[in-house]
Amino acid sequence: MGEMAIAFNVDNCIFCRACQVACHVWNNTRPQVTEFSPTLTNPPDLLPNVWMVMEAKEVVEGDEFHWLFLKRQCMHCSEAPCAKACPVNAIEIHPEGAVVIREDKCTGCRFCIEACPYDVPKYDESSEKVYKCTFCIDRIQNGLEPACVAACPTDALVFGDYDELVNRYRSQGFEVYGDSVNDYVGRTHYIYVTRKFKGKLTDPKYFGERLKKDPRKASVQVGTNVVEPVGWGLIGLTLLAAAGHFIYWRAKRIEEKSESEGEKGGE
Amino acid sequence: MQSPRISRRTFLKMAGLGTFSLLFSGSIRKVLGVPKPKRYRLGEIGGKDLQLTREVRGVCGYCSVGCGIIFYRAGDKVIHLEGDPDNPLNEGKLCSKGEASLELFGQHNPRRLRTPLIRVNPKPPAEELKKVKTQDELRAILDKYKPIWRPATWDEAFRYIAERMREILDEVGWDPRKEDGYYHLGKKFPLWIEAGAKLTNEEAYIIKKIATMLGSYNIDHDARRCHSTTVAGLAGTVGFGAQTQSFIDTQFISTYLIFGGNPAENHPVSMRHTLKGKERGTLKLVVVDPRYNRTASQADVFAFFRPGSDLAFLLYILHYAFWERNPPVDQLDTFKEFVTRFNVDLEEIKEFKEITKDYTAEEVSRITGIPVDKLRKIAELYVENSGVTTNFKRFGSIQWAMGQTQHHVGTQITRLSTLVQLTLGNMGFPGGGLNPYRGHSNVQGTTDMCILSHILPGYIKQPSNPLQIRVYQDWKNQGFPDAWHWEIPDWAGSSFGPNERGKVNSTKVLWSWWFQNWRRFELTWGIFVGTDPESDPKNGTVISDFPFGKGYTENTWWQGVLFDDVLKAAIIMAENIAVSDGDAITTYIALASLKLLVVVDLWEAETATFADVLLPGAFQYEKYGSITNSNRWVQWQDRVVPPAGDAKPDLWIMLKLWDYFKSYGIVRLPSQIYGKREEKVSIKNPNTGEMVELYERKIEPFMDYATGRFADPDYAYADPELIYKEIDLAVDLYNGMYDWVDGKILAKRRKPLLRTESDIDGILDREFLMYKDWAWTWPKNVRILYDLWTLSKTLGRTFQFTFTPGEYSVGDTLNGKTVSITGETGEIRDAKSGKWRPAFIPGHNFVVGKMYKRLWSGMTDLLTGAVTAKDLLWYGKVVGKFVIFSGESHTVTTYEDLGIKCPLCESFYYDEDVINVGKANYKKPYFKGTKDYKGKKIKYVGFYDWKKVRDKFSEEFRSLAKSLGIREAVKSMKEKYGEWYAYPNPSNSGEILAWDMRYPIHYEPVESPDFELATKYPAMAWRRAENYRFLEPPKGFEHLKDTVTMIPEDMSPPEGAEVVVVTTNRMTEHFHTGQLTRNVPLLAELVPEPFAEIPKPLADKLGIKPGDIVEVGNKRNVIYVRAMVTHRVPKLSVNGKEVYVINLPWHWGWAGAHSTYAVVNTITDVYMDVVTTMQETKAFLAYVRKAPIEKYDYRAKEENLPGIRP
Repeated sequence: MGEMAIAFNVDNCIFCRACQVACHVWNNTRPQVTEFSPTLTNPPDLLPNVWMVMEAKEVVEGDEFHWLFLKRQCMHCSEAPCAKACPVNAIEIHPEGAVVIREDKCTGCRFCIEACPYDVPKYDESSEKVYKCTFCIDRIQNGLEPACVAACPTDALVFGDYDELVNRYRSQGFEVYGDSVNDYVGRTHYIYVTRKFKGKLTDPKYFGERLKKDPRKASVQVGTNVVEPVGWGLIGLTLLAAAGHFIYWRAKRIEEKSESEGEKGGE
Repeated sequence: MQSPRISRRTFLKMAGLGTFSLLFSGSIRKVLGVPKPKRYRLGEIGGKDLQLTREVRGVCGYCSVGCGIIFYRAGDKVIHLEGDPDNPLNEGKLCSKGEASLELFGQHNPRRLRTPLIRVNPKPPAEELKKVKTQDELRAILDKYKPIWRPATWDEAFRYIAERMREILDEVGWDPRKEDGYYHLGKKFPLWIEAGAKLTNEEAYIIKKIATMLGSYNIDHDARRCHSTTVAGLAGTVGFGAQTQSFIDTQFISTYLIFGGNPAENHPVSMRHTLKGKERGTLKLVVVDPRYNRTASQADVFAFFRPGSDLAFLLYILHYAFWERNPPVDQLDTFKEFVTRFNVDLEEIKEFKEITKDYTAEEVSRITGIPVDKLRKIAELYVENSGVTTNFKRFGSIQWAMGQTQHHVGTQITRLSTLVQLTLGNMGFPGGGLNPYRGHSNVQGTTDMCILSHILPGYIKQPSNPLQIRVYQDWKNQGFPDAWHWEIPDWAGSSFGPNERGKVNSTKVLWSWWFQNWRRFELTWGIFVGTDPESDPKNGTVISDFPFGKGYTENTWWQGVLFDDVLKAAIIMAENIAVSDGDAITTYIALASLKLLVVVDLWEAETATFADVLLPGAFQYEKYGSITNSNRWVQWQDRVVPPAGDAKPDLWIMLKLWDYFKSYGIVRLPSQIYGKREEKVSIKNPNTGEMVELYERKIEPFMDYATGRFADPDYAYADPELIYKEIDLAVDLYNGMYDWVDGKILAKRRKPLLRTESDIDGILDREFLMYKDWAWTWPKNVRILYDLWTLSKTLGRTFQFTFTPGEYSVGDTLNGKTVSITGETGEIRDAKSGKWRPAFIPGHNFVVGKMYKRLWSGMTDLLTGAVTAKDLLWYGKVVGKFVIFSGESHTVTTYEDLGIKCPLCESFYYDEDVINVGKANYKKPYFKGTKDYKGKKIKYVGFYDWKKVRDKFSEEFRSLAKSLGIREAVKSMKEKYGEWYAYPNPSNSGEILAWDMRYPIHYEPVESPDFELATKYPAMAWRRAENYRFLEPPKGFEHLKDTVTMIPEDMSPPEGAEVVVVTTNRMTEHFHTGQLTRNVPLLAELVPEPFAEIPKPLADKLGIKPGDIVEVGNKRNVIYVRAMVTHRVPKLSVNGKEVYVINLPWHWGWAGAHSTYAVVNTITDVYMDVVTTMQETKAFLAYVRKAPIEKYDYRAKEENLPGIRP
């Protein structure tokens, strides 16, 4: 499996929110006790236990009325500013494009939250860790589509090879958001496509509040695990973590070996 | 046309491949020195160990699409679910409700009931409830009498119920001994049974069987309130009351008019198929609705319209087709050809065309609020893409649900939709038809099994008098003939059809169909319906184990309690009428007045507030059984896990109740009381009149399903597969769903492949993705109803089938012939050869499902006879005797000797003769004949006569209404002319003409926003006695009169309020009364609180901001909900007047999580459909204004939420 993308086709969504529920069911995240939402979007923002939210918005322009639906979750950026900001390498970028927080490694420092221009990662007080969408890494690594895609009844969500998807939509006359956003995020592995709302994906009146033209966090200047603003103490931590990682990696290798053997046996 | 399908197995293989390439790319990264990201186990993030699970397949238990679900079970815990990728209905997809179903299982849901409960404190008193006028007053009473329960054993609960039932029966003196025979009157039984549409087919069949054998027709279910008007409108016009297309087939539609439904919200997965057509650019989606809903967000054309103006809109489509279009559609050859195929009388079309003339775009725009140009655009788009205008290459289809049905003229609306499709040639083809989407997962099945007060399973007539039993006995004596071989005795009179043998009309064919089904029930139920002695049908004693008449309906039952003093006890299973009944406070008064109320439910729901006994039931996933989806696919549900605690499946509860009822002397079958123990089954020699005895049948009521074949003890006692087989034999509509040759339950068939061209219906299967080997569909596995022509007209081909001489059990019209097949035939197991053969020849006309020929007429009993029902069902044992007459002599032989391989397959066949009988009804008068009133004659007349007085009628009504008010004006005119919608004949002073309702015309809803419209097109409700009781209520119920507010001027709204038109709705995230979704935290997250959708301009006018509390009220009740201020509900211009529409989703009540006393149905009404008693909950009046937050009583009450992180 090479570099993958999940495409959200704005035109096909009927806001049934199967994706939002499927995300909870697969990841076993606690449903949120919410309040009345005047737009139906609920919860109104992402939460440590709600990794994706379907948003609804009414737009009136002259005689035209539109009811817009947009899926919101981690964009899985190729340049993943969150991963770069993470001082303990807890955020891994997978070859498929998934940007995944390692729950076992996260120290809850929240630098990733600062770095994310899409306001995605959310900090959980009780576990003192940060959570977000994983691109369903534990499904795609095992040959299944992400849970939200698998659920979507109208194929508004499609999972596939990155370039193939982008090319296919472009050739069918779709506008595509994500394949080259800016230098800060690179390309996003969640892409958004439309024919119906061409030219309006990044228009703030339509989808632009979320699908930012130039997403960046100017105030945060984190490079690749830059330690300057954090101080020397963290370097020690990082080294420790690296050592830990090595041990983990060794252990993991053994595990993997036996696992793939097991698979053979299973076939 | 079709894309290659990935089977589940291939899918898993691909999964293996993915893993391999992943490892490969990972190793490259390792070489490059990049730390390798973690490799995860499947389900690791959510802590699910999927390696150790067992898959159980089932059908989604929410809506009626029939999506397949695979449940993953570890031990006795269900840890995950996914859509079934093999199921062609959902192709692996699910909506939010389906995905969330995991939380319904007891292990995840602490709110599920786990033990029987008996109430120990008093119930809310009816007298106190009668005074309720606001939500606060309701809350005060219900809080005061909140139920207190004590846990009980099942035995204790059953005894408690049976003892009280016995007392009640003895009190009313329940006895079948009548002056003219032994029978019960079905409307007099004091127990009211409501059994919901969530039951399986087997449960539905059994509960109707039990009620009938108790002597009761006081049984009904949700279908009455959701699609009863669809069934009446469709069946009364074209034969069957069901969806003619499948969900998959919607992708082949050219113009899909969504009018009265909202599939994107209420049947989300159905949109998968519809949008495929849109994506290909072959389908235009047109949505006409009071709300811009989620379906509208996908529409190519959308129009707001006023709730309750449905008839006018549809009449305009036909006005366009008949009067604006050039040439008018009725002059097209294709039109003539099409209506001829439905045997329509052309005179009827003329009269109907005349009606549509008045419904011009301008007039309809005034009524509906749709601008003239948009109306015309929609009509043009629809008509020009129809069968008759495209030479049957493109088709329009109409989708609806409660939007069309829930009106006091719902039957007229669904009938009009049917007439639109008949006129435009849009029916009986893939891509064209009528699509009433059902609500519940099995409401189609529970309707087919007829948990209804007026018909027996399979839409079979219930007898109404002893004469019918006599004629039936005579029919039996003639050897159980089909209509062609039946000679009706002279003494029967004219109501059964032509007397002569060989001569048929649709009445005679229907009666013989009903009789054959009565016989099937006799054989499989072990009961007796006939005369003693059997040989003297004319003078013998009539004994009928079928009760006579029709019972109360789900909308009239409260009158049976409160006004008629008939109903004294009730059992309510799998329904929550305290939230779903229109004018619900009246329901509370009735519930509180019962001596005994038993509720069987999953939760302590709102209705349980009034119960004496509360029994824990099971959900669909906890049962074995068959489920019929909206497009008639019968699929099988396997038990995923048993219900938690001591809860039991409804089937077990029903059969246990029967056992207790029997031992308490509550079962009083007429045949048993008479002492009829055996039936002599004889056939009369038509030439000599001599009775030849075939066999003696034992009369033993059969309810023994304890086969012990299932490991689970509850199902060991109640074998659902045995009942499935019984349904196949007893209910003609479902005959064929069991394969008697291979012994297979066809509902379990899960083959996601298309047939080859040489198979039966193979060409159609391949071309139109019918998936004929997935599950089974009634009738005879036909996927598209009325498909007589697709092969010949649309594809330009035919299919040949040869009935090899002597091989098949078919008559001379088919035997030895090679027939040319032009449509979909379905298939049938041949009795003689045991082979599959095409059923409907040459295709499926609308009548053939109900009408057939029987090769064995005059030769043997149905199924060749059964000595006992148990022999038949448990062991497949038939009598197998045939008598062959030749002149005065006869010989008796057996099925083996005749070379018959499958006697249980019966000898039915369908040929062109059958197609030529019966006709579609453009004209269907609901009132006929004459009656005397104060020395004058009231005559029910058609449109030409009615037109003479129509304007005078409404002028007089208007002038009376101006002086007396509209309510008194109705009473005054009804009093004066003896009938509503009646006026003196100007050319005959002794005669009053009354409209016979033979064609749909526009009627305003009972509560109309405009005086002029309300008097020009008066509501028809007052034709029905049950409705008239609102104008003249019995003593003690005078308050009901005040609740009738027919126009805004009747309303007297408080300060700061605006009178609006209200419509009610469901939404994606919730289901009906909310118990299955408010108690599911995953869904409650999405929509937790009750609200009203309020148009932005109205909100601005009344100072209402998003999230404010609003008061919505009328004279029935006043409720408080949140305000959702939106552009998605309209301000309309109706008859030159500003009319605001607000929408209320009705999923909330006071029980369970996310609760409130703001029950929307306490402000809706229960004005009933003139034909079916459907309530008018889709269009009524209320006022709305801003309210203080203190009035709002919503509580979340969420605890023990599942989920491991964080």
